Amino acid sequence: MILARLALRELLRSSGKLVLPVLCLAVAVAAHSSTKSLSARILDSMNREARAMAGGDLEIGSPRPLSSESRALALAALPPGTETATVKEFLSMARDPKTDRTRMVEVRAVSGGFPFYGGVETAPADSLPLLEQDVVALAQPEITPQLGVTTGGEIRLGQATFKIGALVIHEPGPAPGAFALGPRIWISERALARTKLEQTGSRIRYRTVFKIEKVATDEQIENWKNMIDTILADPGLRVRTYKEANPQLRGFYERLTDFLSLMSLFVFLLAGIGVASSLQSHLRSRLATVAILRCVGASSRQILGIFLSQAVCIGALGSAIGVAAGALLSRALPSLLGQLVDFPSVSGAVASSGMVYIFSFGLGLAITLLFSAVSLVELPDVRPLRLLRPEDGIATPGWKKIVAGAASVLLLMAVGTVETGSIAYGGGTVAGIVAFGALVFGVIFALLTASSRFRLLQLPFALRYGTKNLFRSRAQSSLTIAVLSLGILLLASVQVLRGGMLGELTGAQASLRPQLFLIDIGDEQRAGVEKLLHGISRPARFNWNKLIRARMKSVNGEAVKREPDGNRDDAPANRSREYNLSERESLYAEAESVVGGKFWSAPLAPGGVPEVSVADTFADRAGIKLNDRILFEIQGVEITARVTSLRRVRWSTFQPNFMVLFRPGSLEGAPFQWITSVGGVSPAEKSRAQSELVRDYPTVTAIDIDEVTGRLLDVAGRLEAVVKFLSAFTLAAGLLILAMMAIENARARSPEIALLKVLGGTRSDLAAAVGWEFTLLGAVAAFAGALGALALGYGILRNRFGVEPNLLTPEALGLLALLVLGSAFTGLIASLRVFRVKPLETLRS
Amino acid sequence: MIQVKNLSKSYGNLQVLRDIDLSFAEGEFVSLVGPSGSGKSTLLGLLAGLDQATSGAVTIDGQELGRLDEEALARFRGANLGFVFQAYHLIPTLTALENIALPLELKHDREAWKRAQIWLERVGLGDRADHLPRQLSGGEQQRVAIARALVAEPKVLFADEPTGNLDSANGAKILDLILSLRGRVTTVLVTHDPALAARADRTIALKDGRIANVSSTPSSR
Repeated sequence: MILARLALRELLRSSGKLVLPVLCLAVAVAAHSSTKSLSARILDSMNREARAMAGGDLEIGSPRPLSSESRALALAALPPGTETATVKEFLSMARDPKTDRTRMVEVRAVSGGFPFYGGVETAPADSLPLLEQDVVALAQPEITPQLGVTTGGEIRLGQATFKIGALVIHEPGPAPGAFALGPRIWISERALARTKLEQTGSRIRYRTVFKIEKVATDEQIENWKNMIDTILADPGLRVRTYKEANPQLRGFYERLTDFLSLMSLFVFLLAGIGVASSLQSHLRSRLATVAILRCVGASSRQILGIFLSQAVCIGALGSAIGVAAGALLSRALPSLLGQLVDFPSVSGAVASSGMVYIFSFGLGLAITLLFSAVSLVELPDVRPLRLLRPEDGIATPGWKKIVAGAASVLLLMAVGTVETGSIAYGGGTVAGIVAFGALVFGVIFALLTASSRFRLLQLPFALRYGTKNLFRSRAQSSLTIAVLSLGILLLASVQVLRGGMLGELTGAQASLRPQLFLIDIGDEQRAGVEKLLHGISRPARFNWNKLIRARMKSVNGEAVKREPDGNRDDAPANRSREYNLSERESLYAEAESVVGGKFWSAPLAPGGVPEVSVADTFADRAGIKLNDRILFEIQGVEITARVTSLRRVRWSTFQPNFMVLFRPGSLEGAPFQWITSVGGVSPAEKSRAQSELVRDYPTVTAIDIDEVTGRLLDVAGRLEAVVKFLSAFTLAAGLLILAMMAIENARARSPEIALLKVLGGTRSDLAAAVGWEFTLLGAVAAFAGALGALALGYGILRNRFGVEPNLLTPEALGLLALLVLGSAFTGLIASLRVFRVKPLETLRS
Repeated sequence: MIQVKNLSKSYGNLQVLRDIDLSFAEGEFVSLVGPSGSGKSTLLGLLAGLDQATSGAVTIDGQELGRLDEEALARFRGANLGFVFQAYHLIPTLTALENIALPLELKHDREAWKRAQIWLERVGLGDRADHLPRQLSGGEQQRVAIARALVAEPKVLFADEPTGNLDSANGAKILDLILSLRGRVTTVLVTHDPALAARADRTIALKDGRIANVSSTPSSR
């Protein structure tokens, strides 16, 4: 009992010092709980609406219409009474026949009572059956502002005219504007035939959807899926349960939530360091109490109990404040992400996320205890001899602290792994961050050790004293710099990535970008399309490419088995799906460069071995190397080709490009369509070109590239806002730690500062010295963080997108300067109290 | 009660104590004197099991301290030894009564508070039970420290300059308290004060880490 009282009173006595670690932890828990709460609500929404989004219980996705034999085999494997429907989805152009205005739209052609599950709301209500009249289309309301037609109006799709029978005001899943390139138009499958938009090589996504008659469990559905998979045995087909439908959408949200989770763990890491550092200082100030307790017979366990209970109090208080703040902040996050999370259940009232908050609270407590362990392991080594010899040190073996620190990092890695479901991604990211911090610590410590012998006599007092202070406690200075650099790394990385991508999408490159992208052009249409566009814009430039759909059957004789869809950027590529390929004689200088092997310079000679050039990022993910032999199946014809070069593709140039390019002459006779970019067209000409193309060539789809980049920038901007939101937490945690360390330094230096005052030092002298010390500290941290960000940016931007990272933007440099000033300011504020202390008081004490 | 054999202590190359052989009888009051740096406090630390000898052995009531690990030593101290320091070393967040009760509470003694109160009265601070150390004078703090050292009825009391921080009036009160233990508790007192040392049963003078002189003062009894 007396020990509990002692623990509480010691805690209250040190409460002033412990405010900052409590706040630091609260910041981390708030970041974690708010992002986890949002993630939970997104995934919960996805799961709850999954059936409605899929429209059935099971589906078979295919690059071509599912054969009647395959459909019959699938139905035979399913319980009697199973209903089936087909869905065909593709991009196309809609035109208002009255005004000739055009708009890209997503066409969904359905049959057989799709969707089997509700969730689609129309105005007027229950209008889906209108689709049975083949002249009627339903459209999302965005069609009205974009094309100027509404219910009762007419649009042309391909070669058919439709009357808008109703507006689709709600569909399951995220808001229509989040990802789509245009509003969705619903028509019947029969009506699709009238449009003549479904042709060989058309980029149509086919889905055959099944509804089991009786309500089935998820396990049963999974079993039926596996059974159908085995029976059909076609790697080109993707059998999915309703939960696996919409893999791209699900993948996006999984990546988003994983990212949010990792960011919040990053804040936790900083908070853990802050808590550990602060508890270390707290324990150091209570060593006399520990020695007295040892002297009067207290066991290690009893002493440990006192300080452990204090750590629990700090952890519980910080976590509780954090959870409360997180609950409030979780309301702000959806507004930052806007349409990306515009699910009714996500953006509406904050649902109770009890488990999330309990988890965040528990994690805050666990992080506190584990990071505290780095200091608590010293307790058994405090000897009562200190009471006779206060200078008696604590001989805690280094391995104890290393084990405690490693356990803390392992916990974070484990949480990262559990939250992202990937050791490499979750655990690896945490390990990478820790490794970066450790590297900065090591380098700075070595530099400080090496330079500490310099006397710096030529420097003025304030600069010399401030610089020497960094050398005084090299470990502490190195740790502070490492912690700050981690925070700066994150902020600077955002700047680097943003600067690189924005520069690519809106900078000088943008003027070289084509204005239109034309797809689904038949061979017989090519000359006419080119002539039409030249009639509108004389300088129009084209990059014609054949588009051939093909599938890999084997690599080096090893059959390609059905592979899952990888959701992450680093996941293995799904080699079994159907790909768009092309053939070209030369590379686009502004968009491609050879990074391995040799690109051909002439078409394939008759009888020669076909060759392919593979995009390097795809080769990495698909495990393809130079000289591999790949067997392709192109519409039933098999061709074996050797990989003779690897290309780095700069996709942001918006030139027609492909994962795999064949050497011309290899694909003679293969069915194809043309695809081209069109450059050199003014905005007015572009609009006219779209209208006339759709009028004269209704099956051709003309994608407005400015609109696509606008959408990309919008999505990127939303994500950037969230990253900045979370970066603010890391910055807050970093500055709190800086403040803690500055206060501790000031306290330890109090007698020295008093002495300097006695010797004639003024407050401004001392402030200049401390200001310089923390400016230097912030500058070194900023430099280290910026270097790390550049390395990261180099890895991501250059390797993934072929874009050079750049940190020399005014915004990024301004941010770094602000951080350095922030460091100096924090140091000064934290030291103010010591500056004000009267020298006599300090010297007497 | 206490046997010391060939006790030596060095810190790195610095030899602080050399080959000390001593014994202390039960209830004996012994003072350790010597100039600064002679090894008095080091010897006290070794006798009390607060530090480990470089060589040699200390045995108290049949128990060789060097054979005990840190946990067993803590228990042994709690059960058998009491300490009084020059700087009092009270726990600043515990009241006078709580400081006294602490050694008993650590042993889960049900009578802890009752016995602590008795000792508080015995050292003349019955009205200061709820005062924190900073609310007490130096002399009062030292009296609390003595009560804390004796509340668990130790067999040996170690006192390191217990009057060093006190004025003469308070010093005399503390000394009277310690002298009242003569014959009941073996007491080892480190002091610079020759007058104080002269009141012990035996005075051991240290110089350069060795015993320079041992003198008995039977008249002091």
